[in-house]
Amino acid sequence: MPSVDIVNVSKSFGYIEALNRVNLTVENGSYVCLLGPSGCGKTTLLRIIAGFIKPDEGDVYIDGKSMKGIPPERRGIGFVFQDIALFPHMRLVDNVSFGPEVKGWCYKDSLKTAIENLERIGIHMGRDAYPNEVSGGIAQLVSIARALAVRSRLLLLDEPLGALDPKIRVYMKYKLREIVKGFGLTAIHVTHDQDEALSIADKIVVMRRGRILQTGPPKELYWAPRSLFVAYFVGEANIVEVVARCSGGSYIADSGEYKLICGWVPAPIEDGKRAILAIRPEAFKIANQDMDRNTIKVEVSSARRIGRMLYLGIVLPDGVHMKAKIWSNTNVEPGSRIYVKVPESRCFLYPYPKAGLTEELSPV
Amino acid sequence: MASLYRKGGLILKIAILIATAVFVLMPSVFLISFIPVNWDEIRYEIFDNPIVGDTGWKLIQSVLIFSFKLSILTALIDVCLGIPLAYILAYGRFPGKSILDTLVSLPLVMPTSGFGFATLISWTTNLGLGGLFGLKTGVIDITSKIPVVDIPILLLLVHVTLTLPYVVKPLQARFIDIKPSLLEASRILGANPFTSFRKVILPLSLPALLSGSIMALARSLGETGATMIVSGTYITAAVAIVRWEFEFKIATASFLGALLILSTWAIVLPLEMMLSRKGWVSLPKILARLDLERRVIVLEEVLSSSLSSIIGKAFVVILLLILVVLPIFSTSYSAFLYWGKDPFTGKMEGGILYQIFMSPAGYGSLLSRAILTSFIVAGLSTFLSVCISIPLVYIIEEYGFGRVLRTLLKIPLVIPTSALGISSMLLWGPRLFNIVTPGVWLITLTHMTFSVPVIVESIIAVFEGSDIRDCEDVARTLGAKPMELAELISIPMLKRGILTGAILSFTHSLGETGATFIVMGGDYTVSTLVVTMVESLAIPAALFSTLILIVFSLVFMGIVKVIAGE
Ligand SMILES: Nc1ncnc2c1ncn2[C@@H]1O[C@H](COP(=O)(O)OP(=O)(O)O)[C@@H](O)[C@H]1O
Ligand SMILES: [Mg+2]
Repeated sequence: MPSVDIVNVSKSFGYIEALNRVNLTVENGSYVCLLGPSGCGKTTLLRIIAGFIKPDEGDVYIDGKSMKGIPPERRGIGFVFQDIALFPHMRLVDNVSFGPEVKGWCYKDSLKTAIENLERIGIHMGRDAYPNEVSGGIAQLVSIARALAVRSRLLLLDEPLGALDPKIRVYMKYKLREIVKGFGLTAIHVTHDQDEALSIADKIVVMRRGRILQTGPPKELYWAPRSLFVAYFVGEANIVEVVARCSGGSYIADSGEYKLICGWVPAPIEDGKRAILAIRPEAFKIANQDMDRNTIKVEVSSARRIGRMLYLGIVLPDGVHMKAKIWSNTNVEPGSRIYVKVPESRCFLYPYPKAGLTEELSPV
Repeated sequence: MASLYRKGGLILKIAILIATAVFVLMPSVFLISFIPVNWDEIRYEIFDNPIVGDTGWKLIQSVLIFSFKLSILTALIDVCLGIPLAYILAYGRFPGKSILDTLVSLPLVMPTSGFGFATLISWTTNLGLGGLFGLKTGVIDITSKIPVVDIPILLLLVHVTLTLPYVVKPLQARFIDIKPSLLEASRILGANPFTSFRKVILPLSLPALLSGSIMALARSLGETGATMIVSGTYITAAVAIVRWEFEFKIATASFLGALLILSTWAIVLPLEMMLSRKGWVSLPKILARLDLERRVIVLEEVLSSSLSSIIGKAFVVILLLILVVLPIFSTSYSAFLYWGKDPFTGKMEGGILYQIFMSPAGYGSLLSRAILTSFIVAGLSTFLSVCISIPLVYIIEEYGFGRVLRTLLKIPLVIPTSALGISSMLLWGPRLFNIVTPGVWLITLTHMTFSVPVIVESIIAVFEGSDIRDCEDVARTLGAKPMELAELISIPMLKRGILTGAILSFTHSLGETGATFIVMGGDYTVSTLVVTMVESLAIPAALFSTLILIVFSLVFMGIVKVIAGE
């Protein structure tokens, strides 16, 4: 199983800086998601790994071997395209046997491998159909079988679910992970959908404007986002402007009406400066009274229950609206006042962005 | 009021359809009717002449065979050169690519007789290639021919250059149309560039390649202007029609014309119908089944190496320079040498200045009259064709029979123009309407026959690539009346298509030779005048006129580029 090292890769298209000194290591056998808004350079990075385009600077190493000057056909990579890209003039089975054929396998072996791979992926019938005669989901599965038929151990997927219906997407995303793990592959999966990344990746790489912002397992990105953008883009976050108080090594977010001790402050903030407080909806807990630290009295503006999950709209003492998602049996009525607690480690505090809040959170 | 508009609309539509039938479709088919109607005359002149027997028929057979040999060979060479050229133009990235692109299309706007003469100069005299290599003569002789097939080299060269764009342009467009991910998929699955081309790109563009090469074949079959200049003692069917018409062998010329039209249909129409189904073909996996694939791939590996791709590119570039650029330079250079006097004899009478501007019985007044005639004809036929074409596009897009109509409109573009000329002459002249005699008016009518299809295709390309229908609907709901609709929405949106079409039709008309020769009477156009000058060995005058034609076509090419880049 291969590992991938991306070292100092930069790429510009004219004035557009698509990638800026990107460094990334993908371990053997891991399922990595490149996550970021459209246009942040994910596809470009994937295409550089595949060898479709050359980086302006830097290099890609697969299993420690430099890929400089090695054309795509000799990199031994499987690639799944966003637009599926099955050859329209070939039957499904011929699409899958294409790789073995051009690698010089004999006709019988190629055909056998094609059928085997189709079957492993769950396609037992309709092998003689043409791509335009089958649904998008089937076509994408076939394109994965095609990528695997040449025994590639490294699979690159560029928004593989992008062309599919929402219903099929959910099914396919687990299927993808199952295939990758089942075949023992290393996978790099590009997506702009954070749900997709959070639910299937071993490791998520968050990108923005051609740079990598943070790399880590889904849980780490969710509960320890190192920048406001990551907190906002990965999962959901309530965001409010506060004043930072710094005393004895711990930070306090001061809104004027309430104070919250913040346990996750990735960048130093000066005492008394403007700052941004971010709280995930799942961070809230219902408290009985305000004896505890980090407890606030709020007004419930809306309440909806699905199973044991409570979805609340709450209004903080200073009139700020927030969303809360609480695992609880207690019933809460809209209009009532309750106490909520946010554990210190779940209060994120960031310096106020220099370029302004809108700019910092802008998806492009 | 509304019903008046509707009635007016219907009348207009019918009028347009009738105009299309009379000006465009009838001239292209009328000649066929000549065979049954005048069978006796044909038999007398061709098959059963009391003096020469069936020499006429033998002659017809021999020119037809020669013509088909030439056009098939031309089309084959076009395919061989056109594929790499289209590939480079579609996928390559190198400095000067847009210049290369322009060079490929240049023969489309270049008057063929002028281009033929320019090629003649650059290959057979020491003013071109010969001089470049320090020879006293040209690199080839006008009579040099390819041994086995017995075709003059120069003639083949000219035909290849003039028809190459008909293969390259559609193929290039198709290559660009193929999703890049298909090529990338092929590469990442392990296929080298050459194998990817064979297994993915080629099957996806075979229909475009086929229709392009058929078009090239038809063009070569009908080429007249350049052929008359460079064919030497050989004679093609298209040229034979002109020559025989001049010798008043009307029946023979018409019979040959009808045969040419019929055989062009027989080639083009079935293919048009076959190809319109889908954009690709799936090839049987013969190589793989025979387990030869592996060996072919090893070969393709070598061909894909960067060295061979550089060699390929260089070859194509040099070829275009020799075929297209060199004639232009040789002509300019020769015109420069011939300006004051004949450079070989030193005589003033052999110089351009004398022949064009000083000699009292010289070519100056002829040339200026011909330029005037050319521009009147081109302007008038283009203007009238635009008037027919705009409503015609709407009719084609609106009704079910539009598709058929569109296919029918391709006929005038593929049939040999000299056949079209004789058909036009007979239609408007003595055999049917009897209202127009050869001269400016008949040239205009004849040129409209191919101008309308050219303009219609240009407008349709813009029409189908835009949301003009939606815009018109919106305007209608906002209360626009039909006239306002045309003025404010349709015409401005279609402007680019109309302009491009008009310029193409204008240059087509300016360069047309085959039909014009037959229908012009005494009213020479520049293109026909060049042929006449060459035939009467007035080289300096021909040089000067050719130079003027080249300058015109370069200017038009520039205008087309500006409009397309807008
Ligand atoms: N071939 C190209 N030519 C010009 N610009 C490009 C090209 N490919 C990508 N870009 C630009 O580079 C940036 C990153 O693109 P991409 O990697 O496709 O983003 P993503 O896949 O994250 O949406 C975008 O601004 C895009 O417009
Ligand atoms: Mg992308």
